[in-house]
Amino acid sequence: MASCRQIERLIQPCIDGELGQSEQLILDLHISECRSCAALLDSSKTTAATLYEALREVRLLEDLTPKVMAHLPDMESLVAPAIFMNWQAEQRRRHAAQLRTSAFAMVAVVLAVLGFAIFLAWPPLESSGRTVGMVTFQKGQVQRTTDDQQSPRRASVQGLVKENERYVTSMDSTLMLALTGGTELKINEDSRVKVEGDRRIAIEAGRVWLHVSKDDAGFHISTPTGAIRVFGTTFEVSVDPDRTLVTVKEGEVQVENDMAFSVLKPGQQASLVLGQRPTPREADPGTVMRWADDISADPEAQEVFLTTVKRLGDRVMRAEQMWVVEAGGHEVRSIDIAWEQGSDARERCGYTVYVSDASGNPLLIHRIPASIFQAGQPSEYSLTLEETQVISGVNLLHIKIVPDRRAGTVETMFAQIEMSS
Amino acid sequence: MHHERDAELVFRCLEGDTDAFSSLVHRYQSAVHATAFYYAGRYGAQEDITQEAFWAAYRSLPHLKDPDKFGAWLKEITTRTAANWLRKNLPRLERETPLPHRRTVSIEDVRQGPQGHSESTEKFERVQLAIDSLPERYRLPVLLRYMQELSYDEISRFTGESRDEIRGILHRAARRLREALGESHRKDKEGDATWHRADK
Repeated sequence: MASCRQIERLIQPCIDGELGQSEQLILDLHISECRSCAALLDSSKTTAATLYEALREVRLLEDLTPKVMAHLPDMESLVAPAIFMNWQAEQRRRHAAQLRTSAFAMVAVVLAVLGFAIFLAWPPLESSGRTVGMVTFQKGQVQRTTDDQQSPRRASVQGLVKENERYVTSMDSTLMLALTGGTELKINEDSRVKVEGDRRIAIEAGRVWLHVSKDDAGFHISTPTGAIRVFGTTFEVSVDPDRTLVTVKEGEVQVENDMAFSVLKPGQQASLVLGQRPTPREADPGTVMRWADDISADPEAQEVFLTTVKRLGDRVMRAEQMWVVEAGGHEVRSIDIAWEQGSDARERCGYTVYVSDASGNPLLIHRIPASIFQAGQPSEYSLTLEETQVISGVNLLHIKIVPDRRAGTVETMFAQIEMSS
Repeated sequence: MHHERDAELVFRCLEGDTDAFSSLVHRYQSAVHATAFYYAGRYGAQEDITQEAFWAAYRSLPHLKDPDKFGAWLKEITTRTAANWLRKNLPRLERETPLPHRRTVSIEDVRQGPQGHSESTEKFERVQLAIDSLPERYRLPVLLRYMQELSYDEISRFTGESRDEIRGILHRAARRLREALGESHRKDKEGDATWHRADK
């Protein structure tokens, strides 16, 4: 008599109609006598039904053969240089010449299509006094300080927000800021927020609601226990000394700490705690953000902001570079990156590398320090993965490289990314 | 049509018989479509990539070393085609609003009306999330089976894995999916997890 363990293996093939006759018989006999296996068969059928139903929406309905045949290209002759050759052999070769050739072709495409502006001038952070926004709402007493310190001053509506200013709300005071990058912040009571630039803030404590407009450059938030990166979204951040909680209403938000990164979707929430992976879970943004409903911009301040201060932020900026690299299912132990060496003598910025799989699942995060990009250094970098990070069984990787402008200001144009094992 | 082996059809193609290629297209379009959907379904690019993959396959057919392995070779071409498409289009797409979850609105949605739409969308998203959390090696076989209802043999021919491997993969995948979907079904009943903080 077959054991339940053996029977379990027959259930899926049975549902898929792939059981041999004798196996089917064994299964039928066992099911008629074993209630738990019968229940397992039922729940497996339910799961299968759910999957079929859900995926039916996107299955191929049309016969694409006529379309394909209508525009059939010419077949290559065997004499022509083999480009799409012998897939399996090519994939088994490590860094063969063919890979470089196709990588350069890819670079040409990337450069042409993306059309980056190289070496964008970005004002050095030291120039304090740069206006990055305006106060558009205020209730109660809010203090404004800078690091090099003179005594704190009061914030007021229509007051200008300068780079590296810190805003501190107390009990019963709230604040709203409009930044030139297009981001709006609502700051709750008992909070401390430092505005490091028009696209970068540090939330030291408290609760902040943010709306980030879609913009090439993205917006960065640092907290005591992790960092947040966004490109067009509405969300809330609640910072305690040992935990930051991020809740998303619209758009997508990427949260990260030293351990890992994670992407939050609307209706999701995650905690950033040192030493733990941020894991998304469901939440109700409406409830979390209710406090922000009472704060809205003073119409006059808004108007002044839009007609004067906001213009300061109009700048075309490309902040991130995206790559799609084939890994051919092999083990990836290192990622090799090359870039254009430039002659600009100013400080170059460091970069953060985000690696995800084809479904968008985050795989690893790695920071490349600014010193790597300085003039005089080799224009290549090999990112060696730790044992726990080694990637295997993946065909396609999405790699995003984002500048970290805290250290330097000049951006680098990346030329090539390859995988090796 | 199915009584001719892939290798025979490939040889006929190489001799100039385009009908033989259309048989191959017919035979493999579901598999190629599912693969294209896997890599770029969230951008609605699966049909474009499917067509381009077949064109690329036709163009480089003379370079296929082992005509018996046409299926697995075609899968690699599809992967490469998808990669090329993503390289070209991802930077632009990342900046635009991402679709609620990797799909374009279908006729089904319109027929069902707004209420039906949100329910089926939710189910679709849940399933999509569950599949995405499977080990990568399981995801494509799962799509081939549940999206296009390919047989184990067909899946084996396309992925290059043995039939036994596929059977094992689908069995283990089904177990994980059962857990993942069963759990989320339970969560719906409990209600949303909200974050409460001392009111300010």
